[in-house]
Formats: sequence, structure tokens, C-alpha cells
Amino acid sequence: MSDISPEYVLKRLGKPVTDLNFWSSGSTQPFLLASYGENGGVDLWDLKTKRSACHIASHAPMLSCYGMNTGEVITFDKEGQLKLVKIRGAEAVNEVCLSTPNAGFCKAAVLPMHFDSSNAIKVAVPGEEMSSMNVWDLKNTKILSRLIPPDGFKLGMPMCSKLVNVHSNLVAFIGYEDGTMLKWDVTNEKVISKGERLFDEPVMTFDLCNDTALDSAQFGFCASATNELIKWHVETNFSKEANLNSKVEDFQIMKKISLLNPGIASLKIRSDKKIIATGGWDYKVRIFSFKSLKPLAVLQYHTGTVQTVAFSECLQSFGQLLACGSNDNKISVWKLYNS
Amino acid sequence: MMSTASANRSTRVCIREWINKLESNEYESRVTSDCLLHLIKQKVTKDDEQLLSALLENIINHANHDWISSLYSEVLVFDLLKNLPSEFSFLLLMARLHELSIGSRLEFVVSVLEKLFIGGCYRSLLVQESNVSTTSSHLWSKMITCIGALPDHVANKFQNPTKFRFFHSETFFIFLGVEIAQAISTLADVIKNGKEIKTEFISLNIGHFCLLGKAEYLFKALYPALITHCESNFLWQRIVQKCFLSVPDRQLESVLTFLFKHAPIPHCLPPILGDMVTKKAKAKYIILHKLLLLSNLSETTAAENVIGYISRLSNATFLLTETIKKLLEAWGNKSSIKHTTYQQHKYLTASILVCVGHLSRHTADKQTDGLLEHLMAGMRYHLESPDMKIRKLGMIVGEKVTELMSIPTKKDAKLLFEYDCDDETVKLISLCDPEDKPTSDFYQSQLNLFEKFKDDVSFKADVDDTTYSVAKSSFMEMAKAQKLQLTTAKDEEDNTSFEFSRPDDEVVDSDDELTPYNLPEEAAFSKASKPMYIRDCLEGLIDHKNQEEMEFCLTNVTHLVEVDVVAAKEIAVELFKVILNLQDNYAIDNFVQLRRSALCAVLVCNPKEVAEYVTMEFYSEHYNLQQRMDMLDVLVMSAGRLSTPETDKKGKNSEVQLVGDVNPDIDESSLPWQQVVEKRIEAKTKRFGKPRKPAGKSNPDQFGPVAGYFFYPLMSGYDRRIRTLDLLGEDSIILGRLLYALGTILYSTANSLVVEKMASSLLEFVAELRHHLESFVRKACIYCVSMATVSVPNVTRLLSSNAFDCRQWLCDVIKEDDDEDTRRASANALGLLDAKVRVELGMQAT
Repeated sequence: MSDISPEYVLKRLGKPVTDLNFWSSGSTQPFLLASYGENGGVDLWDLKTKRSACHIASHAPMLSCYGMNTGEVITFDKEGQLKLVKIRGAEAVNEVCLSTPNAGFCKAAVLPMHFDSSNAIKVAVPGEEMSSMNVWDLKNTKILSRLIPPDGFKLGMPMCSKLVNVHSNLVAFIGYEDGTMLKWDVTNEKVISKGERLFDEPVMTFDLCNDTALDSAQFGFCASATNELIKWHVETNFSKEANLNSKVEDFQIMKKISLLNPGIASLKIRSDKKIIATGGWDYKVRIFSFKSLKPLAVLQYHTGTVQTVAFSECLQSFGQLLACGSNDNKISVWKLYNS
Repeated sequence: MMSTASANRSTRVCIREWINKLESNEYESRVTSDCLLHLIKQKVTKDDEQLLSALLENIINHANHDWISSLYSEVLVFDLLKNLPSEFSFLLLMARLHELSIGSRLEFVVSVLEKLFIGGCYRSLLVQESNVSTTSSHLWSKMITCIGALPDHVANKFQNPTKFRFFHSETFFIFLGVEIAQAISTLADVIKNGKEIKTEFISLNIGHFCLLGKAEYLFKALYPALITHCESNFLWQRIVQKCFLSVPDRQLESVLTFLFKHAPIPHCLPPILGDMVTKKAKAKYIILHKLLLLSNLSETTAAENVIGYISRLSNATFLLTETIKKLLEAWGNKSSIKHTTYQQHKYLTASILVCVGHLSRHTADKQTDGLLEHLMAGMRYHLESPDMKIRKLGMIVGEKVTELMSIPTKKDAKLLFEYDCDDETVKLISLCDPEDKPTSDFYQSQLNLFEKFKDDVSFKADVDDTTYSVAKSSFMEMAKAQKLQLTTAKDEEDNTSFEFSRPDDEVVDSDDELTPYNLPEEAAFSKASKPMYIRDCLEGLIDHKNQEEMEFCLTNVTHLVEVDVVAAKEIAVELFKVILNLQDNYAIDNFVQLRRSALCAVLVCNPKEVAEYVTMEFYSEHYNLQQRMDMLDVLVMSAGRLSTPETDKKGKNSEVQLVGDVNPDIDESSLPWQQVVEKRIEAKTKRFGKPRKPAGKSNPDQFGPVAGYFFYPLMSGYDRRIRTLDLLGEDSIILGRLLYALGTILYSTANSLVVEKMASSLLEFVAELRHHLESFVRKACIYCVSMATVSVPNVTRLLSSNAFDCRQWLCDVIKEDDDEDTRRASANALGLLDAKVRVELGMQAT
């Protein structure tokens, strides 16, 4: 197939992009949420008008932003401010604001609504101690669990995390600075994986999705500051009788590929499980096939590290989009493999 | 006393009677046999020998033809002779051999001789003459000469190589070697029994055969025997050492040369030769002087053996130090570096390295005082040489010898040079590690070798041997064929299994229904941005803040210059200056090539000004030799590029236009009417014969007009001496390169109008330099002459003044130049010149 170019490019002057998420809450039209470094705050880009519909200002550099189905946006910045912001038209109102310690590089991990029936907003952010993470109930501003690695683990900072529900048990996946990935039973604050190091360098990013064939298993892709990209498979068996006796499972590496240049800053799986996208330190976005990790495309547009990539759901009149945000202050939006 | 005398008398009488009887019976077969049978039983003493030899002579000369060719005649004579002293039998038969002409009598004599040798007469002769009571007689040398000459005599007489295989030079001398070894073994037993022996006779034998040039065969079996037995047996050691010590001086060289050249390991020499080198001045001269300094050997084995040998003697350190001093002196001699062949010089270097290796083992008492002086001078001359290989030798020796001397420097600081390691250097460096003591396996293998040769020359189971070998070889062939079949069958199996395994992978792949986009070629990522304009590039090169930026600028200069010629032209000289002075601070890969191609691009875009600048700078002060060589290289490269017509690019363009021209969709009405009419006429005209193809478009010669700027200024200042450049002195390497550059530039101007003038001035220039001391420069001069020959359209006109001169010089070089390569180059140039003249004069090339 021939070369590709972005559909369009969004840009807020002078602010490097740190996080992107598509957001379509209820009846509202689809937005693209973008958080910026420095004091750029968060923008809600209207995908129709290609303009910022709402701007959430911030004094600190933003780390991440996430849109809830209920019409709120969760933002997290480098000073550790975790906020729940209600969007009313062009106006943003802070509903909850709490300070967390030790914000480093780790983005806030929000449990997606469709995973949870309890209506609580569960968010994981770094905790007080080195290597620890706290899971908050954001609405009630209360810490549900503290995920402190047991003695003997020298993990360094948490770098990236994800919350999922497996058989209505909350499970946290966390990638650490020393290259280890751990799986946590959140409710019991227990590690349920062996904790082997996948990389020699920090885990920079990962994404996972359910294995459709096996309820309790997930496929995941993770990447680090090295030039390796790993696809793994992990099973979580909670015994029905007692949650306490959950078994220790490990990540099974299914495939491993090496790129020429090291460093992948961001990675996402598209919801249809056909492709994944990675954004690299070499300014390039790469598309791989989900199944075999076969390289499919290299998107060369940016002139800075691609900090974040995001896939949209299949949006009416837009199709499935891919947004890439980079240190060069630009957000490029692409349309790929829309069947 | 009386009884023996009477017995003697009776023998004598008896022989006389037989002589008469034979004569009267005209040597009838039966009588002859009877006579011999009778004599075998008789006891013959020394006094009767003369008479007996007369009898045998008569028999051989006159005996009945039938008798001579009968089988038992040989046996009878052999039986008679083997009981007599060997020297008598040998001399008698060999005298017959000389006199007889080809025929059955001669064959008879030779086969008796063969029987005698195989029967061990030679061995018993050796043992007998080693008896302490014998005195060296004049017969010795006569006999040894005769034996040594036997193969030649037999070959000359019969002129038939299939006859008497025993007397083939190789077989015969191997046999003698085996016999000598066995004689020594017997002598060892004699000593064991408390008797003394003399070794002069054996020494004479060995010496004489070696002098004849048969050492190779003689030692084939003997050497392994000596090596094995001298290692383990003290008596052997004594005898053998004495043997070699008493080899006469005039024969010593051929013996020692062979021993040292062919010793499988240096360890085996000391037991064989003992400390001969200290005992005998001649031996010392041969071993330490001739073998190391004067012989022209391509293999380093001899040097290794010589030095390995002396390093195992009692006063090794002294000898080694003395030797290395001598070697270094010869090695560092300026004129020898220039005038000996590389091969020879390498041999010298190898010797030094072996010496270093052995000396470093003798840690105590290193007398390395005088070494540094010789080394330093030598190294300097080596490093100055224009020949890379010589320089490398200098570096290796420098490193190793300083390491040996362990000059007190900073901690662990060593003299280290940078040079490419090829096979040759690795081999040379490995010489510094002396070989280990051989294992018992080695001696066993040497013994086996001796046994093998012994069997080879034993001449017994000839027929069986061949039948066996034929059977064996045919069996081997069959087995081979079967094996081959087996393996091919196996291979096929492998192939099929491989094919089976393959589709699995494809299944996985085909599952991926997504087609990839065009994937760009992966390139290593770098953050620096590429310079977009030539001026940015220039600035980047001046600042060169970091490695990436500099690398980018350097790689992109060529491209940018080609893209924007106008802008590049403006700043060409400045750009050239900056790039020329660029230092490789960041150790960029291919820095030299990158810089050179960048310089070349700049020079090509503005040849006149830049060439003027370069040629001026070439003779200015503030450059190092590498930069000057770069200048020459760049000039040559650009000249080449400018003189190549750029047909490719333009050809493509015109083709594209042509397609546009014949576009059939053009509406006719839009064309002017003349074209429409022409088109119609063209369409209706029939042409017979081929349409003429348009001649290729010619481009104006780009180089001709500017060639002068490249050429003349380079010749202008060669005799000017500045602080950093002395072309006529020590920087002859630059001078040579300059000549090569001039020659090539001249060649680039071929076909232009200026070439004749340039050629004649180049020849004049060369005339002044062609007797240069350095062969590199002389070769460059020859190159220039060749280039002038090929470049000018008409040699006869151009060279009318210089022709005889140049030709004469080339002839002289062929005749008397020191350097072989130069002579060869000169011969080529001469051939070229002559061929061209012949063509111009309309003669057929011979």
C-alpha cells in the first residue's frame, strides 16, 4: 500500500503533549482529550470543529487525563494533584481535588466504567513509599488499597499501570523502573505474579485486553527503554471459594521483536484487537499486527518523541481514529485499517 | 706363522691356477662356476686381493654370455664378495662399472652391486672404518666419491629410468641414510661394550653426500632417526655430535643449512649438534651469520631453528644478545632497507622477533644496553619508508623490542602502534612465543617416519605391495561411491523434512489479513537535524559542536553542493578550506572518505578557483603530510569526475521529453500548419533502409579549460624546501604521490587540446626526478611516462625530443634497478610506448 499522511493535525502553541484519550460521554459528540506538559492544562478537542471546546487550566505539567462516561474528566499532574473535573459546556468545575505524594512519571490508571458496577471511580496513582501505588476511590476520597511490594523486591518507581476487573476482582498491572511487571490482587494487596524482569530497562508503557477465548486471561504488549517489544499472555485464576488463595501466575512471553532504535514511549491496542500502535523516541509511530507483531506501517510525521497514542472507538462519521501526541507540540490524527 | 704363510701361498697358487684354467677353457660356464664355488671355500687374505680382483675382472670381462645372464652367476659372485672386505668389493665392481659399456655384463655388475648394498655391505663398511685402529686412507675419499656418484653413473650408462630402481638418486640416498642410522646404532653397541670408535668416516660420508646436494634424500630417513635416538640415548648423542663436529669445513655449510632449514622443531637440534656453535668457528659463522643474515629464505623456519637452537645452549643469553644486536644492526641499516628485497627484510624481522621471544624467557641478566640505539635508528628509517609493509615491520619490531627491554616508563605504559593485523603480522607476532617442548608423541611419530622409509627402501615385497595397493585403492573408490550415495539419500530426507516444517510459519502469517503499508528503510535514529542549506552546513562545520552535527554536515555537504551549485560556487573556496582543516575529533566512521568526497564535490562545483587555492596551499607551510596527500587525492578525483562526460543524466531527461513529443493525443489543430503537413508527409513516406539514429548528444569538455589550474602549479614548487615539507629530502612519499597525481591528472585531460603541452612538461619534470634514490618515486616516474604515452594522441610527435631519452632511461631501469617491481613496471611502460609508436607508424603489432 502507498504512503499515508495524517488526516489533520491539532496544536496548542508551545505545549508538548503528554496524554491523549478519546472521549464520547453519552450523547455528546466525540472529543479528544489532550493533556500538556509545562502549564498547558487539558484541552477537549472537538473532532467536528477541530477546535478546543473546553480548556482546563493548570499550573503544573499534566501527566494524564481520562474521560468518564458520566461526563467527568480525571486529570493528574506532576505535583500529584488528582482532580475530578465536571465539564459543563465550555466550563470546567473541580469536583474533587486531592493531593498524592511522589508523582513521578506514572500516569493515573482509571478503572473503566464498564468494568465496574459499584459506581465508584477507582484510580491508581503512586503512593507514599518508593515503588508503592495507592488505589483510590475518587468520589469518596479514600484509599482502597496500598500496593506496597513485599521485602526483597527492588523495583524502583512505578512507571505505568492499568486496572482491570477479573471475575469482579480488581486486578492492577504495574510496570516498574527496573523492568519488572507485576500483577496485583488489589483487594488483598497481594502480588499474584512471580515478578520476573522482562527488560533490562524501565518498562515505559504497556496495554492489555481480555483474551476472548478465556475469561480470566489477558493479552498484553509492553515496551521499555530498550528496543524490544513483547507480547505476553497472562491468566488469573481466582478460586471461587476463597479470594485469599489466588494462585501465582506468570507472564508468558508469546512473541518478542527488536526494533532498530531503542525507546518506546507509548503503546495502545485498538479495541478490535487487530492492530497496536507504538510511539517511539525516534519520533516515529509504528503500527503492528495484533496477532503476529508484523510491522504494518511507520507513521513519520512528528519531530519529537511520541509521548502518547490513542485509538478511538468506531465513531460515527469518523471511523476508527488514531491520535498521536508528541513533544513537538502537535497532535496528529490518522485513519488506518478502517474496514 | 709358517702355516698361515703356506696357506696364503697355496691360495695364491690356487687362484693363479684357476686363471689359467679359465683362459684355457675360454671361460666355459661350468668351469667358471666351479672356480667360484671353489674360491668361496678358500680363505682369501689381503695379500691375495690383487690376484683375486684380476680373476674376477677376467670373469666379468670374458665369461660366457650364457653364464653371465644366468641367475646363479650373480649369487655366486655375491657370495664370494660378501666374505671379502667391503671396500675391496665396492672398488672392484665400481671400476668395472666405469669401464664396461651397456650390455649384459654391465647389468650383471650393477645387480651384484645392488645385492651388496641391500646385503648390508655399506653398513659393515661404515662400522669397519670406524674402528679406532684404522687410519684415514686415501681410499676413503675415493670410495665415498664412487658411492656418491653411483646413481649418476648407473643412470648415465643405462639411460633408462625403469631399470635398477634401487639406484635412483632418491631411493639410493634414502637407503644410505637408513644404513648410516643402523651403523650408528651398531656403533652405540660397540661403545657399550667398552670399545672406542672414530667417527671421521661417517662424517666424511655425510658431508660428501650433502655437498653433492643429496642432503634432502640422505636425511629423509636419517633425520627422524637422529631426532628420536639422540633425545633418549646418550650414546647416540655422543656419536652423532662427534660425527657432525668432524665434518670437514668445506662440507659443513651444506650439512648445517639443511639441518637448520628442515628441523621440524628447534628442540631436536641441541641433542644432535651439541654446542658445536661454540666449538667450531666455521660452524658459528655459518649458523649465526650466514643463515641469519646472508641467506635469502622465504620461510622463517630456519631462523626459528637457529635461534631456538642457541637458546638451549649453556651460554644462551650471551649468544642471543650478541645475535639480536647483530640482527638489529643489519635490520636498521638504511641502505639495506632500501636495497634488499622485502622478503629478505621480513626474514630478518622474523629472526629478531624469535630472538625477542627467547630472550624474554631468560629473565635474569638481560644485557640489552646497546639495543636501544640500533632499534631507534632502525625504527626511524622504517617509519620513513613509503612502503606500508616496511613501516609495519618497523612498528612490530619496535613494539616487541621495547617490551623486551622494559624501559622504565609510566606504569604499564607500552609502545603501541596502530596497524592492520593481517595474516602476515599475526604470523610474525606469533614468532615471539617460543614453541613448547615436544611430547613423546612427536618422537614416536618421528620414529614411525624412519621405519616407514626403512620399509620403503627395503625392496622385498614389491609385487605384493602393488597388488595390495591396487586392491586397496579400488576398494576405497567403491566405498567412497557407496558413501556418497548414502549421504545424498540423507540430504534428500533432510530437504523434505525442511519443506514440511516450512508451511507452518506461513499459516501464521496468512492469518494476518492486514496488508502492510510501504515500510521505509530502517535507519539509525539521531536527534540532530539535517542542514538544509549549504551555508548552514558551512556554519555547522565551523562550529562542529557535537559529533552528530558534524557527521550530518559532512555527509550532506556533497548532496547540498550538487543541489545548489550557484550558492556553493560562491562559498566554494571557504568551504574547501574549512573541510580541509577539519580534524577527526569525534572518530567518525569513514571520516577520511567522507571528507575526501566532500572536498571533491566542492572542487568540482568551482574548479578554477578552488584548484588555484588547493595547488597554492599544497606548497604552503601549515599542513601535515596527510592533508597534503588528501589535497592530491582530491585533485585527482575531481579531475577524473570533471573529465567524464555526463551523458547519463541528460540522456534520461531527453528521453522523457521525447515521450512528450510523440504524444498521440495532441490535437492536430493546435499545431502550426507546417508541422501538420510534415507529419502527414512523414506518415505517408516509405523509407527503404534503416533510419539514421540521432548521434548522442555531446557535452562540452569540462576539464580541458581548467586542467592547467590543476596541473602546472603542482609542479612549480617541488624544489622549494619549507619547514614542514621537504620533497627532495625525507618526504619522498609525498613526492611520489605528487607524481602519481600529475600522471593521473594528465590522463584525465586526454582528448583535450592542452594535453600535448602538459605531457611534454610532465616528461621534463620527470626527467629531473627519475634517478631518485627511493624506488617508490622511480616507480611514480615510470607511471608518469606511461600516462603521457597513453594520453597524447601522437607519441611520435610529442616525444621526438624526449623519446630516445625516455626509452633509454626505461631500458636502463630494466637493466640495473635494485627493485624488482620497478623493473617490472618499467618493462610494461616500455612495451606500452613501443606498441603505441608501432601503431602510429602503421606497423602491425608483433
